[in-house]
Amino acid sequence: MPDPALSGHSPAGTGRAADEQQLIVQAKVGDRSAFRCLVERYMKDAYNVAYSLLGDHHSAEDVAQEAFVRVHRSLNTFRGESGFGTWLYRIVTNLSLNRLKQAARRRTHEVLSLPEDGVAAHDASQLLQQAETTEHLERALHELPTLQRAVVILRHIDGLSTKQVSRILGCSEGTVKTHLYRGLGHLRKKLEHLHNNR
Amino acid sequence: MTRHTRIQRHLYDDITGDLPSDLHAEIEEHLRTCSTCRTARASMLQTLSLIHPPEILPSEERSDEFWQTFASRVEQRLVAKPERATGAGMRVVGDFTSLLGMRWRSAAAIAAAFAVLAGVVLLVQNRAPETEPTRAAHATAPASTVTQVDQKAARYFRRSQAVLVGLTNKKPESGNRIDLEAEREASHALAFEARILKHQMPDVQSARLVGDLERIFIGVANSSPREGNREIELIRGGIRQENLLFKVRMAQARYEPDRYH
Repeated sequence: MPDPALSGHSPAGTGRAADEQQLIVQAKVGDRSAFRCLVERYMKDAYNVAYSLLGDHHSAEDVAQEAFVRVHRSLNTFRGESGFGTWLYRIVTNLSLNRLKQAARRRTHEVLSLPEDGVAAHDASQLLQQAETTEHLERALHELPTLQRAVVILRHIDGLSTKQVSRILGCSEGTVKTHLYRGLGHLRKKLEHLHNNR
Repeated sequence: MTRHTRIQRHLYDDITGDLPSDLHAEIEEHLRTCSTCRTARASMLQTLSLIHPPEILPSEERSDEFWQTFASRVEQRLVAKPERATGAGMRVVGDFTSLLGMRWRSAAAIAAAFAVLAGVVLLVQNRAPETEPTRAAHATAPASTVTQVDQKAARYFRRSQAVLVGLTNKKPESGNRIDLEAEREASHALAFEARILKHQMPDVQSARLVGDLERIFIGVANSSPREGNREIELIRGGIRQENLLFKVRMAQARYEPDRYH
């Protein structure tokens, strides 16, 4: 996840953080262009997190935009105790989870794909089998309890560390690991037939 | 808690390289003799190998125009919904009072009460999403994240180097056959780990190296002893051609500078 506030891997991390603090200060006093800069800086990451949890573009757009609206309304309460990105992802994640709870629906989830196993899928039957496997995975993932699903997706699809996930969900790393352990256990059981066929 | 349960609780951290070295060694030792835990580990690796980040980020599937107008659309939302609680509350109260024919003062009192109630409800609703994560949770985050990834990468490159050296140098045994059973097993684990690690690497070069290693390890893990040495010679050729041992040593020097200076 390319959030320097989270990963600290940006080459110009310090400069960027200082610049970000300045933007936040300006946005707090009503500078619209500063807030716009923040939106443009984080919009794709916010969108990707929402999409990975919700699985469709329309909902991801709606949640990402709503998250920025909420950020704007709560900017005065933001004290900089966490990174701006962490705070934003937390809002995105909570909005997404609320939406999932409200509408427990099945949908096509494009973020999962089969790992490349060094052999190109040349024939149609292999492609068909891959599509079936992906479908099983999507279903299994979306049948997980909400928190287990969120933790597995944030950790393994969005590539965040357990510490980052714990900060976003507002729980301890131990709790994240417990949900991960249980979530992967459930997935393993649901996908047992796939493992046996591989 | 039985020993198996305890070991299996740590398998996830072991796979992702998050365990301290003494616990990692204990688990490795246990796995050597326990087929139940070995199966649990293999099963977890299989499950993890199926879940990984998308090749194309969802944001890349949207057009440039979509992103150019995204911020403007957020601004439009802000303008369209300047007030959430009071405006709606007043409208509802207005509807009620007109229906009941109440006087202005009573209507104002009810409106105020309604607005306070709506405010409280919204405050409770929105508290969780907008609560800022605490300082305690964040204080050491960037530094520890870097260290965690670096440690994981260092450990991965160290183990990869050991397997690559084994693959490159192993001599044929009796019957002119090169026994690569141990390397095959290690390659299996390293290939699965690479699938997670390559998406966590801090730079493109390291991520590419982990990807190259993954391909080699998949080749070794899938190689069949029945094929004889031909297959392994091809893999050795790949290692030489890609100069992988040199690249891995360079990466190790980068992630474990203390070891090399």
